[in-house]
Amino acid sequence: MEEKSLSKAMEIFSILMSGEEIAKNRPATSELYQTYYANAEVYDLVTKLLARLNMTIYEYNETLFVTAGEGNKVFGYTNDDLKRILGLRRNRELYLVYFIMYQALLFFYTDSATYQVRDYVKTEELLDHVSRAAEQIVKESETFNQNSREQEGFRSVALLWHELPLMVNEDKDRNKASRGSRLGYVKLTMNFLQGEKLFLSAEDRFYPTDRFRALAEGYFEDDKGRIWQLLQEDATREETPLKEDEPTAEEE
Amino acid sequence: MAEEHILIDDILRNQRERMLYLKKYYPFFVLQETTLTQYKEGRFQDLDMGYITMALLRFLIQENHFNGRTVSYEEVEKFLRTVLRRDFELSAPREEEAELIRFLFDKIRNDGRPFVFPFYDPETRTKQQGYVRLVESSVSEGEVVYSITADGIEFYLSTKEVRDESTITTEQLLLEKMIRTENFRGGIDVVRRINLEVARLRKEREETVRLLQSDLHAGVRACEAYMAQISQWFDAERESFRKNKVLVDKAVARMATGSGQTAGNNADAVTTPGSEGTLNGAKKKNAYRDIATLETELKKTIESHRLLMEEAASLSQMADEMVERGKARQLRPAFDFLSAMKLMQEKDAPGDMGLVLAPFFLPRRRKSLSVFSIDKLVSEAREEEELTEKREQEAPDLGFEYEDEALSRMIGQNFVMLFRELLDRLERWQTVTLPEFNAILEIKFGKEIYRNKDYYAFLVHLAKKESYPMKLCFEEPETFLELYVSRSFSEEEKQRFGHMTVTLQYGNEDVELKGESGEPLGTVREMTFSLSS
Repeated sequence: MEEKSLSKAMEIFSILMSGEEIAKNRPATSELYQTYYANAEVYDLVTKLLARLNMTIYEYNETLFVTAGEGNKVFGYTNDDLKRILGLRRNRELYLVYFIMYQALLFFYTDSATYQVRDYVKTEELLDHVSRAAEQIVKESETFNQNSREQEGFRSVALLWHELPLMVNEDKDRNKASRGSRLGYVKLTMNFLQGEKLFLSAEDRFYPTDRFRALAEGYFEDDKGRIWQLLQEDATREETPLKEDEPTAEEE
Repeated sequence: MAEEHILIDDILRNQRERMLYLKKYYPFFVLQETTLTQYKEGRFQDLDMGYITMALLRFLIQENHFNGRTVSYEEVEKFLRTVLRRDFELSAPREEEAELIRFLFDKIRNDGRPFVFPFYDPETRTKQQGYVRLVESSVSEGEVVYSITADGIEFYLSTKEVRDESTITTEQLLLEKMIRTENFRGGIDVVRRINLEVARLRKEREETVRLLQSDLHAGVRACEAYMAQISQWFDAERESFRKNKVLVDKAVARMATGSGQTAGNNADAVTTPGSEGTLNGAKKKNAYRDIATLETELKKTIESHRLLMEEAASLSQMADEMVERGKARQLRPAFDFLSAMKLMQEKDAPGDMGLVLAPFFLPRRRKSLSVFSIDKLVSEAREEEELTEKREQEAPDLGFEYEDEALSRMIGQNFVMLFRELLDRLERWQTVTLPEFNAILEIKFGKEIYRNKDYYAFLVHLAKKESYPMKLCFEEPETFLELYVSRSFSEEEKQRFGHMTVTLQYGNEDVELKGESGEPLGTVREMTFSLSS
């Protein structure tokens, strides 16, 4: 193995691991992109290094991305990590954020082969989309059991959404990312997704990035069988048991 | 026994249904109970929240369903301002009025949250709660807009007429009755209510379409329920419309030929005894105007009812198409995010959403050090070196004297001064009595000395020992007094008094101490200080 190949492979690896992408049309990474495909040794090294860490590389629009996939204990987030990052305390709050993320995904992709005609999603569209999805789980016109079994589960997520006001402040732009309103939750979620380089925002519109499209279209088709199996089992909850923080009196 | 069973069964089984029926009324009574006695010192306590709520709902129905548009807050504010000024004769400063309107509107909206209606379901033995909103908000073209909810419409409609299986049919019967009794103005109201009901059904259809687009299974179920509900009604409704139209046409024809009957219950019409069947000019004009309005309204309603029927027919066709498309999609080898969501919902495991979302996230970076800077840390350590911030460490002020320390120092100074006087006198006289010592102090410091607590403390300290070999006192002080003296006397003084030994003797009488004007200040046991060898 040539030392030069190792050096290049490490450079590619470190860039990808830091969450950056290697794009052919970006001057800073163009050469690395070419090397990755032209030099078989570099290609092998990078692939092996990533495979050892349970990471997968994807290409979309002549750009390379890496993902830790699901259930990666070293490079993946646990539910508690996410709660900490997002400033949430209760499981159902995290599930609501998941729900909003999932609806953002469904807005663009109902399946991994969806032909894309949408370029962006507006905040109001996403709000509407989430409201409709929550309405399908629990209609606002229904009645709800006050028992504890509805403290978790999809019904509790939809209930949490129904309970929230649309926004705290009449002026839409003055509403901050918070747990106090539907708009607050959407902002909280979209801020996180922007940080994860999945969306770019401009003039109250969120544009999915190539990274988002690469993963939505690539990752799941490759791992379709395995993910379905995981979804059918109760694997996730055993793997990452959630600790429910006790709500404070203030929250109650 | 059987009767009792039927009774209990009726109570248990129907309770939930009854509560659900009552649910839509709940916000109104909550709002009605809202008193404004606490708001702005009760200046607006005469306002009636019930009335304001009903007025606002009617306004929203008008705008949302008759004019087909949502309303902004500014429009709500303008409307409520008119209501407050016209119906309550409110005259408050504009700013305060705006604040009040915001307060009222937020109350009716319940600050954007649903009203929660709690009740007990005896059948399942659980506490249940229902949510109701009267007004909902949404964002349209970057602006927050408001509209009345389906619950709001249902509530408003049910406040005047009892709602039967089909409101349209019931209202039509009422309309027929009104036209027959020639109460055309009442008829207009009825037609308008029918229009509202048609609008509500159209809204329900829109919601079903939306459901079909997002969740095929639920959409198909909702569509079937909707179709089953309205198809039963349509024929009866159409027949009623036809009958009423004929009646109105007849009324118009009668009016045109001038052979109209009395205006009967028409609000403006009065039948003059003896002149039955005739109307004076103005009344005739009013009745004619009412009939014309009724005819126009009825035409509009028939048209929107026809549209509703057409849309309902297309809904069923649309549902079939969507089912076909859904089937085709199932055959493709793609990962179906929608089905995955359905599976999670069936399992009721919202945490599983994390499984699908996790691959989207960036690799988690636990360290704060940039990967790029590792090389630099090794090779360009100097470059990376950061200028350290100079921190000036302030040394503690050792000379700082606490309050008690200052007091202690002052007492010490006084003790030393008194002791110095005593030694000085003893050096000369060999023996000094307390009155003599006092006289010397009085000359030096005045009679104020007796008001100084240190004087008495000095005597108390002095009385702790019977004799003071001064050399020992300077070298190995035992008491506080000795310590102060040894610290404060100069070397010269120590030489001068070092050879002396002061002895104390107590007499049997008390020495009286008096102030500046001869007032008694206290007594001290007589003492004699003398030098011993």
